[in-house]
Amino acid sequence: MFGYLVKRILQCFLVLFCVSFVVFVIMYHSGDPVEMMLPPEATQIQVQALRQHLGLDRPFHIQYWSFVKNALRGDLGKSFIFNKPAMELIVERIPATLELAVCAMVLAVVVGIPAGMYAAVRPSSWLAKTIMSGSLLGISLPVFWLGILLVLIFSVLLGWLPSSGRGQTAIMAGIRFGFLTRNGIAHLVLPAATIAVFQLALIIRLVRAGMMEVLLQDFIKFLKAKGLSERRIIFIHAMKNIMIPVVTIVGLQLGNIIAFAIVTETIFAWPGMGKLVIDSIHGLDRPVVLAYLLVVSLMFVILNFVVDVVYTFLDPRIRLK
Amino acid sequence: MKSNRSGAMWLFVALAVFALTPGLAVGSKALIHGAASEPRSLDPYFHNETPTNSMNKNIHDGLVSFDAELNVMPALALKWENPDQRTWVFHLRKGVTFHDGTPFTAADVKFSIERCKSWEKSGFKATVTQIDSIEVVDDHTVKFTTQQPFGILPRKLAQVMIMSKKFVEANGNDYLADHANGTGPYKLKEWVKGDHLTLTANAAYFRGAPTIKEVVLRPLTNDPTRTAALLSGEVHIIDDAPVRDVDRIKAAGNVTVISRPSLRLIYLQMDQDRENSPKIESPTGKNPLMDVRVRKALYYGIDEEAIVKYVMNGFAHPAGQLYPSFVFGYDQSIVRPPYNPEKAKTLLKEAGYPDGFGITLDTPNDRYVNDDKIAQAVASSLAKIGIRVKVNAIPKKTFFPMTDRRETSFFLIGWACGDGDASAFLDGIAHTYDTEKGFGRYNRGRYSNPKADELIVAASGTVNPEERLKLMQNAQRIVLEDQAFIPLQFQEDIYAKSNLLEWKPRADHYMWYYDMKLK
Repeated sequence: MFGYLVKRILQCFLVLFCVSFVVFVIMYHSGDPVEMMLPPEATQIQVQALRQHLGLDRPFHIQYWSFVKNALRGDLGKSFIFNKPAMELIVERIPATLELAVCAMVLAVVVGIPAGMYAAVRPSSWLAKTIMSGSLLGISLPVFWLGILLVLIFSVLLGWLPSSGRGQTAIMAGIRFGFLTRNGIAHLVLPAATIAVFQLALIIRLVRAGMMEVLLQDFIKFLKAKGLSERRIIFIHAMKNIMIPVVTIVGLQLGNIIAFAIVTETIFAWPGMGKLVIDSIHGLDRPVVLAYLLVVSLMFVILNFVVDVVYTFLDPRIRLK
Repeated sequence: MKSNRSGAMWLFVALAVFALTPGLAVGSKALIHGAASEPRSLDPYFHNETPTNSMNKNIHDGLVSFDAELNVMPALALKWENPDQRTWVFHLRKGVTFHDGTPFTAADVKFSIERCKSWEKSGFKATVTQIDSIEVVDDHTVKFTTQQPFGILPRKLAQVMIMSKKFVEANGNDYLADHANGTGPYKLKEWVKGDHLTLTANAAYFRGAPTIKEVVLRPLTNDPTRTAALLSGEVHIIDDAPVRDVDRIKAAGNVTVISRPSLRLIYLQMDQDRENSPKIESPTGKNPLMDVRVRKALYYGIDEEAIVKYVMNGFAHPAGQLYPSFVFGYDQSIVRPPYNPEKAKTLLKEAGYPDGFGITLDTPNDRYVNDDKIAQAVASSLAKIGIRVKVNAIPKKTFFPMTDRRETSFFLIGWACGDGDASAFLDGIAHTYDTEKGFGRYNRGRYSNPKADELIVAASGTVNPEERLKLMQNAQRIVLEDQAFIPLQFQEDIYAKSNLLEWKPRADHYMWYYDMKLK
């Protein structure tokens, strides 16, 4: 276990280093942030002065080296646009994104697993057929289209739910959460549903396929012969066997929707990290983009680790090495 | 006595219930603005860009300010005079206080202008660069000395907000990014970035307390989201209403679309100083754009009326000069010649290009309203006179540095004379490129005519408005005769608002909540 941890941490550093280098190269070559910061009437001398002040006139390797040195000390630099530490800007936005992602995922898991199991156990019932065709639709709908459609129906036409923003938030443990107020929950429904639809469809299909495969295996027949109730067979023995791929996918997808909920956050004006990073990419705000991608990479590494640990509980034959 | 007390108790309960009922108490007096862009910083000297300036203008005041048509009017300064050509004396308003209660004095003015000039990240250095020194005469009088006679100083100062010396010195630069203490009609209440920025009325405002007591700005950067928020009644007003949603908004009953000409000119720049221009396929091997007849042919060969009608849905006006009518320097005698492809072809033949030439038109695709679509329309217009135009539409972050490196021959770009004065265009674009004197930074086609330069420099050193106007008009005439640029259109600002809100848009696209009224 200890050896495994050390290996994982070293891997993590390697990943972060590679990510930072690639992002740095891309941002370095995609344009001049100073050109985007100063007004058109600024003179050439003023442009040059700001470039110098921000250290952008130095050659690539020196800029990168000073970034690495500072990053190792925990300083990811100051945003060019907001003049605040990049890390602080991102941390500020994490709760909103996390809230949205977790709500969407919980929704998808809570509905998706039972629905998928039902579709596997009673494949010929009309409900199973509806679930399966619904999931096909859910997988193929583009997120931006679905989001706009939901807004059009529930906000503009029916006027039931707010179309955008986070609404009222309440502070718990120093962090703003929307799900603590009624208004906040109302604001959460549409964006969470928009994200959840694809995840839900994915989980349904995954659970159904896994279940159908497991139900044909010998040990199920053996359990039936032993006289166990169908309920016990499905919910305990079969379920344990389909959970490994489900946990893997839920883990990875959770990472995905935290990191890349950009489209949904843009449509719903959700003040999360995705919206910050898209604005930062447009404004060539290198420190923020870098800090964001490093945070996201770190998150993926941790999520993968958690998934590995969960495996050992689900299947005692798996050991962390 | 007892009954009196229980009466008070009931009143208190009733009030509490009223205050807690969502939507009623707060919703009825707060104005909600769905903004196309969020302000970037509350430090009024950091980013010199419209959404940021617009917000800071609600919290702070300048010595002078612009009315909706960009005429200069008094603000923190009541009056001013010129004892000589290089000196300006401003007499300040008395009894004005900052939001924290500190009185406003001449020391704040001196401190502000100096910070604006010297702070490394200031986006307003160019605005105050002509100011040599500031002297505090007494608590309510300041004296400015300029490097040379500088007639548009008041126009420049209208853009410089005055900060509190005490507040800035006590808190440092970084703190100012999201804290503010001005003299303006609104105080900052709360800013949750990306979600909302709330202002409350400053009851002690020197022009009188604002009628709207609370304003909430919600950044709704995505176009359909902004429209949806307006149609569902969640916001009272949106700026930059999307052109394609205008019909839908008009069809809804309780909202109105309003538009007005903006400061923005969309125009084309042409490479004019190199025989080997990077993106031209010329049959003669020479750069055709160096010939004024070719440049004129391009001007006559673009059907701008059609572009305005079909690409802009009418939300623009064909441009015949470099700035719109409400900019100081506009010349009424200049009108755009009608579309004339025959004349264009004749001019091309005379210049030695009877079969035209091939050229790439570079354009941003995320900077101006319909920028890349306008470029496409220009290309198809020019195809009819035999010029084969390939449109290269790229994001602004690559486009602007590329034009700066001059890896372009022909490009579409926009300009807005933010201070309402023609000098912004003339100094920044029409003058010969000159790093040392700071002229012509955006002259990326490198047009150069010493006669125009002379007039432009003379205008910038003239204080008398009539003389300046004449100099600037003459300069523009030369530039247009040389066809140094091809003006395409003046774009309109489009807003959509709830019928509960009364407001007229401003030329500078600032959302000045003090002028708004909620029914």
